[in-house]
Amino acid sequence: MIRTDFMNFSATLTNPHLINWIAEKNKVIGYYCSSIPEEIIHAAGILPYRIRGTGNDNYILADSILSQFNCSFIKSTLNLMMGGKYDFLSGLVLANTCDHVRRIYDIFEQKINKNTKTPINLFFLSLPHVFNERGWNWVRQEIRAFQGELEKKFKIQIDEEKIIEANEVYKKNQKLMERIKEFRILDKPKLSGVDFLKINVANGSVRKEYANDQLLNLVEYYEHDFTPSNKNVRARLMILGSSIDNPGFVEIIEHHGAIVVADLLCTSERWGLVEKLWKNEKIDKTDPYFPIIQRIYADCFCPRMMNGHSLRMDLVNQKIKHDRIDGIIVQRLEFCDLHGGENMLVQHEIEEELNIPVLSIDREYLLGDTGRLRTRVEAFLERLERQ
Amino acid sequence: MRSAKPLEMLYEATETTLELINGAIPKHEMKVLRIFLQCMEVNLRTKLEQIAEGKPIIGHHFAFPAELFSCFDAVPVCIEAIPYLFSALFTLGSEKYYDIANGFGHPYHSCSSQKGMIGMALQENFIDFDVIAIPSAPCDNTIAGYQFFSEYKQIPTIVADMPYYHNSRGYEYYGIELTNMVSNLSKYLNQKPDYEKLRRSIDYSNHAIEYLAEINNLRRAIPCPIESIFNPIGSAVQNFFSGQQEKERFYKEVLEVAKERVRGKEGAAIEEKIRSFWPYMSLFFDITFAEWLDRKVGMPAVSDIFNYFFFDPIKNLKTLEPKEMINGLAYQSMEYPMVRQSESFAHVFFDDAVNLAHQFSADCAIFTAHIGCKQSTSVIQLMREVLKEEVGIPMLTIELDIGDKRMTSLETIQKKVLEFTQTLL
Amino acid sequence: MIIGIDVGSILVKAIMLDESINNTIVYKTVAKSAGDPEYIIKNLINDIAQNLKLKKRDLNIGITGRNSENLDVYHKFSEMNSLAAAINTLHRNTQIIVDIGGFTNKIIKVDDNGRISDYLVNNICSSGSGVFLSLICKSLDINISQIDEYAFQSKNPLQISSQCSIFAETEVIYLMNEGKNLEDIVAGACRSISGRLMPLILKVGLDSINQIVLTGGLGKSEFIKKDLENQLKSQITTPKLDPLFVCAYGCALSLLNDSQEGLN
Repeated sequence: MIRTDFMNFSATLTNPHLINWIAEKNKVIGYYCSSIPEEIIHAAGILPYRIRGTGNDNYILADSILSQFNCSFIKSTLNLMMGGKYDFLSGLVLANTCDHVRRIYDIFEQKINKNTKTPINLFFLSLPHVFNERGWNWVRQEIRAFQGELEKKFKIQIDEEKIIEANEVYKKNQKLMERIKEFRILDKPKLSGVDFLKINVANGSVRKEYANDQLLNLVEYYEHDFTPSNKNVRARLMILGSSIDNPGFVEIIEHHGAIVVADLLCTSERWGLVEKLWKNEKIDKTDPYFPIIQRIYADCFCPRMMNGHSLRMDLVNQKIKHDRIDGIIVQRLEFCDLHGGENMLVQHEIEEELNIPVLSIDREYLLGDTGRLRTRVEAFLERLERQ
Repeated sequence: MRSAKPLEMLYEATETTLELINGAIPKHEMKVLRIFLQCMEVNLRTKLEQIAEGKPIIGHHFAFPAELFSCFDAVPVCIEAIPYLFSALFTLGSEKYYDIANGFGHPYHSCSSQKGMIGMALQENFIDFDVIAIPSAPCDNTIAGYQFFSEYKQIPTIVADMPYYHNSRGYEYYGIELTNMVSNLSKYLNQKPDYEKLRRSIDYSNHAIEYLAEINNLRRAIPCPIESIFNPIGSAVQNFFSGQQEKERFYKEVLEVAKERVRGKEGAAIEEKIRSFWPYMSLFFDITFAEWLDRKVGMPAVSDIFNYFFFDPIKNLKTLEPKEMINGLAYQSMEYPMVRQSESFAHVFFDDAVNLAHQFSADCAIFTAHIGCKQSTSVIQLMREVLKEEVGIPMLTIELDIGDKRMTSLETIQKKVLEFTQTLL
Repeated sequence: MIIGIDVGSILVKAIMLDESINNTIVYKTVAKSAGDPEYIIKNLINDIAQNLKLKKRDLNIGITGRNSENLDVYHKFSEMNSLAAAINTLHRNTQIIVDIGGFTNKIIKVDDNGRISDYLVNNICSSGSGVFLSLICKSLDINISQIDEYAFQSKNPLQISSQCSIFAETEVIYLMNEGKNLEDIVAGACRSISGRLMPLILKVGLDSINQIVLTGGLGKSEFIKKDLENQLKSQITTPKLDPLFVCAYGCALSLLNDSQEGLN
């Protein structure tokens, strides 16, 4: 029996820790994307909450503003926000991370905030699309500006000590997630892809000190108390592509006996890329902003980084070997142009150069038509078994 | 010799279309199209001659200030313009190339402008670019689409990263990016930049800006003296003739046409009944649509996003240092049509639309919701509301692919426009 | 005699008004839209003339509908204007007309003077319209006229997540194979319709008090109407006339109006 219900925090938007946090008159700020400096939000004494579409079952309200060409993940989150499900947020942080996300800022600024008695505080960061030194410096300026805005809007002071402390907490969090990840890639994995994603999603919904305690519990559990089943693993899979915050999707993938042992999703293993992607030789590592810039910029795995494709593929290759991957699933949300273009190349490169089978899936955020998807996964697994 | 088959095909199409028009259409009709084809003929011939001489080919994004390339002895070719010129000038358009790209795995919902070239590249009906120069704007399609050329085709690709903020900090940053672009191009092409050529190119562009401003002044007249076909053609001129003499020539000659018509109180439409403003793009896959608007519906398209510059010519050009010229281009390219409205906060888009709708006395707006443009389709409803509230005009939205006639056919588009005129106007 | 004919994507509806008895509706008929619209119309008119023993030259015919473009020999009226004309007569002071057609859904906003002030049509995709439900009913082997019968019996309407009609069809087959209740699937499909209508209604904009009328073939569905009422928190009026014929009626009224103006 797992000693924590932490994993179940992924099933609903709110959770006991969050409810308690708010009841104690503390603030929560929502953000989209891993490229947001949540460490600064944490340093401000605020809970950084990663926006997700959990519990949404239609697009009615979102569709009254957006078009049919918009990403269903964005629609789901907007639908929840317009339906009042995110009323616990005191602020929302967005960036030019993709065409759909950045327009959420405009929708709030130009419409939603103008038609409510309680407009939400909006923050925006302009982030580079290219890795270079100028970009590094620009990101630092953006983080500092964001910090200033937070201080002004919430009438708080975020001093350097708090940032350093936040960095430590986040570093510990990352190390604990790495430790849990190790259980995932054992010959007999101790946790499924579903459970791993649940932990990640829960991790994004609480204060990191609390998360660290829960993760420590989990590490101890998997280390000492958990006994893996003797069930054969049909295949070891890796998932790449668009953001996934719904474990239900991974459940479909694992339905026929495969296990997702690795991924490079922004909601999941991308936190593991510490100084692994782009290296800026001319940085001051003693700068308190260094780890933040490194995480959100230099280690940004998102295909929005235009000169990062070959760096990304190197990492994918390393992971395939390290995590002993049999097959790869590249999935993209419909209308996601970034992963649309990226997945096309990834599929060709992996199949042609590495000879690893790839299944390409286009999906919507709401999981309809799961039968067809299961059939495709089953056929993919049969193909892997034939190899 | 470098292959430039698409340009050869376009040259042939331009020649035959011009011949057909000169032979079949009276001289006073379709003046804007004639001027364009004449400029196109010269431009393509020059490009092909230069390529035959062995000059390197620089592929560039439509939102990139191609004046910059004039520093070098090279041939600039706008990548996005090619599939759309195919769409406009060939009966079969570029659909074949979109299908090839989709078959390769490119998503169906991505912009047909890059998709068309991807398809051409996969079919080996491509241009042998020596280097590609692009900005990181104005959309995800740019970011995602060009990876194909840099990673799969292994064409050296240089990116100038454009900030989201259109203020002095942003302009300065982009100026540095463009300066580095010149330096990188110099290395790839193994040529030293000649800034006097840059000055001359900017001079062409400065004149083009002045002429377009005058044309737009005259377009405010009722009836509108410039035919609707000016909009899609103007988009091609901006992108394909960017930084070149033909751009100046085109606007100069069209200005004369506009002046003459205003003097004679002539409108381009047979009978101007309704003035339509297009907050976004025109249709590229069938430019006869523009003629239909003018002749059958009496609904000239008096303005659209591509044919209005919200910036002035670069001042004191004769005495500017190279860095100042580049900074001037940085500012202009961040304020370039579509980039200005797409790669920034949406209120700029709305403000510009309200401004233009008022300026051109629009009776209605028609928004082409191009499937590739997620950043603009996200704010259509807001645009609709803004135009209703601040200008008092209704807006029709048409979901389509501006380069692919199969998504929403010409007939369907015409039906929707007619329904709009019959219902609300 | 005035005949208004609505040439829809799935059905052709015709309605006849007798000017001599205060423009009373004296005849209604429906035919399938399969084939050449001109041929279908000719047959319809022949049938009317024959059945009612009327001379074709005494029939004044107006045409509207999605498939009416090439029928230039007749007086043509737009669908929007036809619907507005009908509702202005049947239910004055209506603010919003929600028309669920075979392939297109229309939301029409009407001002205090009965003129159309705004409208929206569903995008090029037909999901959320009649054909969407037709495909699903076909997969379920039920008649579309039976949807209310099944839907009202549902205790747990299922969600049909797929926005595309074709994918929704396969989703329904999957649900059937999973042993889900037919009633729950039908209710879910009906909810998809109202789910696709709602954003359009919200886009057109609701004022504080709205009289909303539901027209079109699926306008007859009480379940869809109730679902929309729940979501809008507002009552919806079922037209006094069979919702299927409202557009044809409006077309006839528009022709009548034009004829009278001509005489004046």
